[in-house]
Amino acid sequence: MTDMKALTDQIRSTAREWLEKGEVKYIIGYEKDPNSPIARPVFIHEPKDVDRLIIDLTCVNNLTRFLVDEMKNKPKRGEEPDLRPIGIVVKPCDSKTIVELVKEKIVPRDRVKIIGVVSPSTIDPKKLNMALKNIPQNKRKDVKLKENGNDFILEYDGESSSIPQDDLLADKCKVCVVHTPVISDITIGEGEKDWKKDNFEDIKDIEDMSPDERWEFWKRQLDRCVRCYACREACPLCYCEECVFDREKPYRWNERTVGLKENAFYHLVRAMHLAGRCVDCGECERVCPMDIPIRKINRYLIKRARERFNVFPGINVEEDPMFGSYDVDDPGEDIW
Amino acid sequence: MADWEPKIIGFLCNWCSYTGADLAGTSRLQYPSNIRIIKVMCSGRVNPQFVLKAFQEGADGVLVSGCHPGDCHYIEGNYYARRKLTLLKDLLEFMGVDPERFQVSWVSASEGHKFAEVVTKFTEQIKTLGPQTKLDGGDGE
Amino acid sequence: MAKLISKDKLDDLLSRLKEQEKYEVFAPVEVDGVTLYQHINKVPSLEFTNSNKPPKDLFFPQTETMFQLERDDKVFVGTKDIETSSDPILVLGMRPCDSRAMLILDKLFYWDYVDPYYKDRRDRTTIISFTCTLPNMPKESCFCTSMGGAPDSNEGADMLWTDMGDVYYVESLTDKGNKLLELGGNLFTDSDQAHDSKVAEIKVNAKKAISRKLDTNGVKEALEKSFESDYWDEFAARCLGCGICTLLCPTCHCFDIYDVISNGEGRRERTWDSCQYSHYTAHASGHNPRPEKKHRQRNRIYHKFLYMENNLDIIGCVGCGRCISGCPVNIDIIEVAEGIKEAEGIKEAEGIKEAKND
Repeated sequence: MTDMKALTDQIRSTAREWLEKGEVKYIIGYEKDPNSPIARPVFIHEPKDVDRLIIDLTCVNNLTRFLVDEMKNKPKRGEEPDLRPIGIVVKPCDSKTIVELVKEKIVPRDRVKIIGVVSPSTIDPKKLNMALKNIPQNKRKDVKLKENGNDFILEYDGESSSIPQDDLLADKCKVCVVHTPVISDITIGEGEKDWKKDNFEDIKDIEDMSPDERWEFWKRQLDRCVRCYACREACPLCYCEECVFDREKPYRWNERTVGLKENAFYHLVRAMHLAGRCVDCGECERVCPMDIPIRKINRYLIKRARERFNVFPGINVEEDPMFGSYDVDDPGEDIW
Repeated sequence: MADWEPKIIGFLCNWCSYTGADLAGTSRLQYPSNIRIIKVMCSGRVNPQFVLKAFQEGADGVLVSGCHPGDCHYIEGNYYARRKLTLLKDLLEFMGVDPERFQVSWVSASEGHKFAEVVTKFTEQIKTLGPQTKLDGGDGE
Repeated sequence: MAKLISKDKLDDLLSRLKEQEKYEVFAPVEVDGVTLYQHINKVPSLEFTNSNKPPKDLFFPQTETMFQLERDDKVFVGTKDIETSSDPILVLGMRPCDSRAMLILDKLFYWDYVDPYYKDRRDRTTIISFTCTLPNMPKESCFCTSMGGAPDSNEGADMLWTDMGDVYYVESLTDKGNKLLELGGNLFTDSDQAHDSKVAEIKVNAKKAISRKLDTNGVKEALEKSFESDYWDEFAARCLGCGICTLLCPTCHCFDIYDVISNGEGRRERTWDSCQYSHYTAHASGHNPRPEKKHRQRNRIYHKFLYMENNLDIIGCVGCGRCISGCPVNIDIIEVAEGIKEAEGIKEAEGIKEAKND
């Protein structure tokens, strides 16, 4: 069982040290939300605030998204830019995102100081909502979550109940193979070093469908999309200054109509833009207000990128980006 | 519909495939006229968005043709094309759109016959598949 | 005089309405775990918390064609109005917060320029509100009682139904509601003392169960003074600019109009827009007066709590809580409203708690 308290204490002391020495501009981490059982992002500028930082099973956000914002910030005219690194608390999946961001030269390695946490997993807030259905809603924010072997224990109001991990764990955690941060300046916690093999079991249901069934499935899902673009905004790797879907000049690629035709175009193009880069941090699916299983599309492309080109996004900073490189012997068996 | 003719969009690279198509023309080789050709300088320039946009606007089939690997006029453009476009085909298959509607081929400047064969074969294939009504907001036949 | 209708008679009611008056009926339906308002022919299970997409979609659809262009060979020569129907619409199952939101949207769309597209649907709609009842409702993010509403509010509704197990308690509030009673005829029975007092108890319990409160006194004053405050930097630092808050909000109403020419046909369309998108106030010159997310989040708060109150004499928030539960980074409008008051020293904020050590 992971000692979350110990991890939290270590994060706080590291953060305090870095801030006191002025080694970082500020630290992005997680804090407890007074009104929700799920943790929320926090920006700590002063050493006295480090006790707000926590790490636990409800720290679901991918904080690297805010690194990209920082890189886009331009200093005011006449001001010297503050080039001190940004401190950030990352889970193993988030650390893969940082590898991609460094690889693509969006975030220079020396502009980020990484507190990598060996955290066991996170829960899915939507599944938590279902599990908390029977708890009076004014008590839900006080719910404490603990690990216990293959179960989770929900504690509230002196009572506790046990839930199998499968019922609460985020889907991405179930298929995760990387349990320790792949890049960090300090690693907090002990963890397994062996990586598990990923069999892509979670997309088997779609792969087993016939082409017509697949289209019916995606048609039903994409019809529901409201094009809020939350998936794009939450994704740390969607960092274009001006997204192709917002452009009017010189050409409007996708009409603003919200309908299956435009929704399908948006999701297909976004999947292609993320091919070979997506590390499956799961944010896109978590933020979707219409519960569309977007991760499945990206998971499939991760699988094919691996099978075709031996590409593993988010693992090796020295590797070239997938579409920015090639192998003379790349397979092309279905090309005439 | 007996008189339906497929609309096929072809992206041909200037140095090899377009010249190959030209050779087919000057050699008076017959091939179906369903294909509407867009010349690009290199197959590596073809953005997957072009292909998806063509389908969205009602294309029944899309063909991308470039130089043989190793012979690209710009040395490596077609290697990048190979990576992008093979993954695009996989994606189309995963979403339930017939991957056979999208085809990549390598046709060199001297392969006029091959070009005519490729287009004939592809047009036949699309005729068998029927009109594309999934990505253009249609009923999804 | 309140009435009762047994749940197993609802399909009969629906058939009568459709056969006699050709009502188009919409109700909240669960699709893959998400609740959406859809056209129905049979009454679905009406145990829902609240819909994901707000019911404004029925009157102000997310994408709506305004008119079509008429072609004469290669040239567009004129416009063709969209055909509309005159059949009555029934919305079976809106929460009282959403019905109140309809009143706000009415004030807006019937303000200085009457929006014909909205009006056409709204005028022929009958709304049946469902009282929020335990155990499903209220949700942990609901705060309608702080915004002038209540789990049993009848504002904006033509009928208010309360779920009592095997029957619905039916209160008719307007002529449109009375018309339904007529058409339903003997499907509706008179209520009795037992049901009357039980319903009062249900309503009181629902009201008591609302856990989030916001004291709106002083919010307007705080906003008037705090446009340049540092408070906006703090809370919006984690905003993603995703727009979910505005898309799920039952009173948000911004839209964009544009022309679409595709496949040889042309039309003018409008689609929901969001003040949270980066290009929302981008000018043609390239200047953007709301360049950062904090400016845009600030605009949303101002619009709801100040501008709408100044222009329409009503606070633009009904307390449905969708923005709170939908926000991916836990931005909480109650916390912000209390926070800005505290930042301006107006009143001791009750909603903010310092994060405690565990």
